[in-house]
Amino acid sequence: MIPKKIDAAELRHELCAFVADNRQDGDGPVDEDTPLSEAGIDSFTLLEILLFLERKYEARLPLELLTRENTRSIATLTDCYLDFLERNGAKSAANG
Amino acid sequence: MPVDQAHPFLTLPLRGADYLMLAFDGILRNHTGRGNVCALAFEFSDAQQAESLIEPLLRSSQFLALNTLRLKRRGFTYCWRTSHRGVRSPIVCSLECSQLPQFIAHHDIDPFTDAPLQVVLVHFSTGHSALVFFWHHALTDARGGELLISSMLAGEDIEFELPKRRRRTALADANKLRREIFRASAAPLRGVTPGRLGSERDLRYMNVTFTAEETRQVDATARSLGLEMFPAVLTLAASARALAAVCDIRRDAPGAFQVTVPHSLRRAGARKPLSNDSSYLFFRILPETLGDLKTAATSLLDQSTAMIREGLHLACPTLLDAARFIPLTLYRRFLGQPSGGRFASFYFSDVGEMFSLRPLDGALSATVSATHYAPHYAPPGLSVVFSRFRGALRLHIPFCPGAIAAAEIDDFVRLVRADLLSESRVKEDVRLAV
Repeated sequence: MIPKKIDAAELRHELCAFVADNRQDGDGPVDEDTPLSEAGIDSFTLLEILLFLERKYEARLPLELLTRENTRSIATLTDCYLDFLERNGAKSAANG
Repeated sequence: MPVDQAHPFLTLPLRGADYLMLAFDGILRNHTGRGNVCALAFEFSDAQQAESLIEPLLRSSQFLALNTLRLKRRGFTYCWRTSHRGVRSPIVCSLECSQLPQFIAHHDIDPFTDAPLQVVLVHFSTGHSALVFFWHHALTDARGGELLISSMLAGEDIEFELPKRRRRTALADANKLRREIFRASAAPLRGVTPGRLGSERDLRYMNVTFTAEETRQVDATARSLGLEMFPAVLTLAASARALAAVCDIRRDAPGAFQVTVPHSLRRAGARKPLSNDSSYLFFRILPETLGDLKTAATSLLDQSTAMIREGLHLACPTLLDAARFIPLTLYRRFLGQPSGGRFASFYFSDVGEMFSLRPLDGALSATVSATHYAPHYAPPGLSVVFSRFRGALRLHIPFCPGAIAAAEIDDFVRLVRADLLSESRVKEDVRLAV
């Protein structure tokens, strides 16, 4: 499976929008540095984020990569996803 | 007590998940004599704190408007409508602290004749006090109840409208979920209530509080298993393993558990606390996955991912909305069949942090304790509800002594704690005692 070409900034922006729409708590803005643990998302919402990535970019992030470090913020989750894609031969146009 | 004219008349239709809760009300009433009632209890270190909160609440037009609602039938469907029956006076009672869970377990609300939201002021002989809010589950879900009560206590406005409907799935997809549920429930289920259910009039609650240090230990267990971002999966796996061990001690035939898990669809900033804005995930837990905590949790995580990938959590509200046009008695029969009255082996919920109560932090002191008392789903004999309040993990278990003995509940709690705290020695001790 070859994922679509991904722009990192666009991915971060989309993830911010997804989290803002789907979080169960919190009233402040969501940006790429918002800690996910404080963004008001539960286990199911985190799975929905993964499936959002899977649907959009056709590549499944293994659950074992969802460590606290990798999910510290949307920026770290984006980096983790892009890193995973690169390691697996995906065509990523990540430019930070 | 006069009703404020700000909300003179309300009509709120029941949505699909509300209708499901109304159907459960009838099933529970048949088995236990008590309906589908939720409670949220605040405990205070002195009597004045509770009284100072209840007085403005009882004058609030919003509380009064909700207090005058009654359930009405409209053809096959139902709605909440303002009634002329008037407002029920607040209940004040005196109890010993240890009596509170049993008092809550037996407080009933008949949605056709009683106010669907009630508050009870409890004085304890120790000088402590409690405010207990009861609401009928057809009015709103756990998170909606938190939102409703915290908004009223904080003097904030409540929007008396139903939450917006989200994207609806095709009925064909919803039917796929229906077939899946009935296929699963038609197979023999393992649980603490084998065979057909009788009446269970003795309802109990057990509350277990983990200390801050224990909660950190649970988080460390999750981290060591790579599940730190999935605490609900960890607690469900530990619960299933503990219940399987209890069933093993009974030497019951091995089998699969079917577990119903609510999934809140209420999103941040929701200002509409009424109606059950929930979906449900239905887990089938096979005995071969329960050998160790990691395997059990991974299996559940895989199931969650598969269900969400297939969109079953989105199909559930569509299915429930369609099903509310089925006559209630027939609907109850569907729920009770073909699993002999047991829709689930046990009900599980991990509501996470009770964050809807955060706005109250300014009004309530840090010593105040809040506890959710989930409805007493008697037919499976046992429900398991995890939550966190002010960072401390809680385990709340509604159970029927006729289905599961006190010693078995103790074993269950000990095994859950052993798994979550990674205390393998305690677990082995219990297994050796079989």
